[in-house]
Amino acid sequence: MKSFSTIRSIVSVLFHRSQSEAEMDEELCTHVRNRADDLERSGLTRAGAERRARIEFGGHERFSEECREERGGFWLETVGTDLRFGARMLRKSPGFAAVAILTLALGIGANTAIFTLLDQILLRSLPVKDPQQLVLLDLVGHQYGNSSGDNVLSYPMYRDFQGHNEVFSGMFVRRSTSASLSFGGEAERVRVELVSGTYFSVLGVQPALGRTLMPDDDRVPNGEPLAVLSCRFWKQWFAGNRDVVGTTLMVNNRKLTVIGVAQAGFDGVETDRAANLFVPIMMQEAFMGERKTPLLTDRRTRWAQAYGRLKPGVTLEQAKASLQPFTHSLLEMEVQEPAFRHASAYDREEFLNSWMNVLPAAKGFSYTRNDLSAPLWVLMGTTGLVLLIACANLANLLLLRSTARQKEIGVRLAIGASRGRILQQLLIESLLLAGLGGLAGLALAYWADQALMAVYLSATSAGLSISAAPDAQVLLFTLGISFLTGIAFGVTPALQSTKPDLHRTLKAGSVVRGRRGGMRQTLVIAQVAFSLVLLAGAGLFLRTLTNLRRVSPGFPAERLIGFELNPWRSGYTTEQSKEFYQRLTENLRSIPGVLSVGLAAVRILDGSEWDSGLTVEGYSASRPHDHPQAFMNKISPNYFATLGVPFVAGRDFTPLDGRPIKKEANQETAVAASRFQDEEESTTAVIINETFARLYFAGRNPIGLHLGFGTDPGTKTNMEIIGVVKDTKYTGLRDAIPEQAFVPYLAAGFTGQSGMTVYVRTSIDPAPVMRAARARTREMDANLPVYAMRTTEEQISDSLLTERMIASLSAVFGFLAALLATVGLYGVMAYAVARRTREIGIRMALGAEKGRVLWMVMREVSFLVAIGLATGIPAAVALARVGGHWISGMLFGVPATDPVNLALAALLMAGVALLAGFLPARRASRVDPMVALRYE
Amino acid sequence: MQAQILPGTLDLLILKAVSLGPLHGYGVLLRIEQISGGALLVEQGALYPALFRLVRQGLLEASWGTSDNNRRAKFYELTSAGRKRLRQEADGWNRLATAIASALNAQPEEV
Repeated sequence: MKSFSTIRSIVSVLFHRSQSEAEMDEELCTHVRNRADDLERSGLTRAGAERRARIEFGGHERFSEECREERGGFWLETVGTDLRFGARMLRKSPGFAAVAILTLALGIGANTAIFTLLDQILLRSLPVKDPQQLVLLDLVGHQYGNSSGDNVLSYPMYRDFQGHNEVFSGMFVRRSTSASLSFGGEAERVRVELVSGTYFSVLGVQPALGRTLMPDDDRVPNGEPLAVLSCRFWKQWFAGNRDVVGTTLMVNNRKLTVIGVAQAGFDGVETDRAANLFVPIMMQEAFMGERKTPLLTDRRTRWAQAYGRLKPGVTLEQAKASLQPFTHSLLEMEVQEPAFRHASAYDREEFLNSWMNVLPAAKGFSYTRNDLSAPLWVLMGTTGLVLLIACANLANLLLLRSTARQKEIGVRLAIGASRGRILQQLLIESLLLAGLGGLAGLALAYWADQALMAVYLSATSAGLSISAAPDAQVLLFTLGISFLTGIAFGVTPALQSTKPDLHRTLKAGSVVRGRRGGMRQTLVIAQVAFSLVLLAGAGLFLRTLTNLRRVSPGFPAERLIGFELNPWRSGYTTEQSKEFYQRLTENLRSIPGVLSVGLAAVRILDGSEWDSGLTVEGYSASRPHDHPQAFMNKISPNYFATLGVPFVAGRDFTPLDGRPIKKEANQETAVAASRFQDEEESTTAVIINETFARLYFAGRNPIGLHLGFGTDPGTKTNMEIIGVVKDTKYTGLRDAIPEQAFVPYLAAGFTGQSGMTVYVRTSIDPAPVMRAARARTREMDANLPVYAMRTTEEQISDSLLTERMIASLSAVFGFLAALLATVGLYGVMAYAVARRTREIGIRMALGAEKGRVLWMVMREVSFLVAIGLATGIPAAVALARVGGHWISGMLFGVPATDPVNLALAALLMAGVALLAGFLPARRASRVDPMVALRYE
Repeated sequence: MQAQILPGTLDLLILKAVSLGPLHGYGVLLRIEQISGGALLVEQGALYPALFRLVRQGLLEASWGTSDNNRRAKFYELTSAGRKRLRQEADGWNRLATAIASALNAQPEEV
């Protein structure tokens, strides 16, 4: 009741402000008039009666004000007044307003820009029902067999868990893969998510059109040619045409019938590889290739991720504990299977030690999330510090301004304004500034994010589906930090300026020395310290980038083109693929300007890897697992010539070296242990790199010696080493050079299913050759998409995108921080000098030399800078000690605690700061005693 | 001899005055003077903040009407919450007044 009447009172004030003001005025005036009537009746003249009535009533304005306060909503009303007043004050000093808003816009904008990315890449949950219930199964331990991807299980194991657990209300399995979609005589590469029939129902994703996949669509291997489109893909490719349901698509040369479109905004579970199509996992052979043992029944190949939805009330720990006994019984069962018949005791034992981990999966799965996590958090911390420095600057500015306004405030306090009221007004002025800065920051962040995404995230943003447009989350964040910023820089100056010594302020010209100056100096010291930390961080990332740029891949990266294609996906048989590759090689070689053409199964410096345990003839591992774990590649003759990798010994492959080899390994296959397929008794050729030779043939000539696939006891060493090549990088520039082994691509196990990367070395500018290569391939088959065509130089430069982003952003932020700190220092010193003009004048009149005066000021500057550095250096060291291991993955060739780096940062900071202090010092030394003494 | 009213008692007096029938602001002043036998002096302007406060607290209700002298005026009326509050405050005041009176009348022999 009471609160209702209060609300009504406030509402009437807010919405009928002028009316209620008029009514209040009328009511008070009527009182006076009534009183005057009575007084007149008692014998006074009308004029006398009215005067008397007004006197009796008391201060009209005072009581009006009290009525407003009592009416409720008073503070809201005063906020409005204060905002108007604040806006007027800002308009009156546009220079101050511009500097303050610009500073805030930079600080808040930087934070908003980074948060926009951080939120979308690291924090956002999948747009599905109750995402926090989703978990990803992760079998931790020693695999005996192949695995492809992270956190993967074999399909049969997923089915076992699906039928045998008490903790999940539902489970699904998925695998992301790329495919070739033919469309009107053209072909494009699309992203396909192979999913179980339970996928959509467990995730709770609804169809936007038609229907989604159901458990009934998940029964017959190769017999469920269906596809669900992602909404984004549907809009891009089919312009949102509703007739798409029921049509057929040619994907990897198979007809798939479109049955529906998934809910808008859902791009699959793998957030950095947005899915275009969802296809029943029963169709996997059309995407993953045919094998002797189909993937749907093979327990020795792990390739698909199994997810579960926790039953309500079940915790992660409970689920983990509940799954262990069954996991172990499955492992026990598997180890008895024939596939383990050659396994060593060590392998069996390690295999049985595996356990099932359960990972939270509310945000889905992403390979890049982990790579971007540390950089984004570091940048977030950096921008946070920049904002703190900006706050310190503004607090300083406001302190100076409040000194200038001290008389105004003093007068207001003296005539009876309450301190709270003035405090409110000053804080509202700060919040107004922060709000304007926040708005400008929001615009700045939008622009900055677009630029960032175009420059640094172009490679990943296509798959990441992130946008620079601020959403509700980002707006809330910006509002929040703007508010906090306004309070942070506003509260100290407001408190300081509302408790002046009235007596002293009202005296003209006198300026209070002491504590307020101390506050300003403290702020400058903090700014110097923070800036030093940021400069040291920027130094680390810049040196990382230069170090990485200096790393050579082991061959000249200029004028080397690489592109990928996969004829198998366009319906080529093994023989056709083989013939196609040979024809393509000849064709490309005839392009003018082409020096050489070579093929490789694994694209190098691309993060991809295929590694395998090998047995080395005449080398016995001292421990069970000291066998070489070599990074492998399947290559054509002339591959090394094309890359420009010289032979140290022996010779290159010839077409005749494509003699039978036992094992076909998928490009995406990681760990391989042998003997899953029956062996043929034959020998093939193999080339190794220098590191391999050094590690396993120390002193011996490896040419003519033998290797074998796998590390099981009794593995046949039937690959003859025919050559040794110079070392090259494999997965990326950061990684150490591993032992490598190369086998001919056209061997007996060749199926063509995994596609190849084609390398072309040119003698001229690569651009026309790239166009020609594309055209020639199209002439051979327009239905065969060529993708990822880039020069190796571009590829290397793209592989350093994250490093470049963090180096340049941290440099920009470090520079900004140093600039703000410098401006802050300059401001404080300039003010101090101005304040002491008379004192300096007297000193000079009494014979002080210019040098002495200069030194007097510079001593104060040096003191501030020295204390700033003395706090900043230990802070930087402590930060590097604590966070060093965390950012070590982001550094290359420079330790987080590098003293040279820190010293350089300190030197730079000191130099800039002393320069900023020198300007006011020089002004002080040029004070004309005559002018100074007349001053004031 | 007129007495300044004690702080905090103005609200009580207004409630009492209005409880005897709807009044406009000036009427409240006159009514208080009348029922106190002219003994209490109310600062005229201070009446209005108090009236606004009582409206906001939901103890009074205000509506515009016409006064005896044909002027537009804002009339105040007691709400049921106001009536309840008046009873409580009056009881409290009477208890306090009795207690103070008996304390002040205490004789040496009673101690």
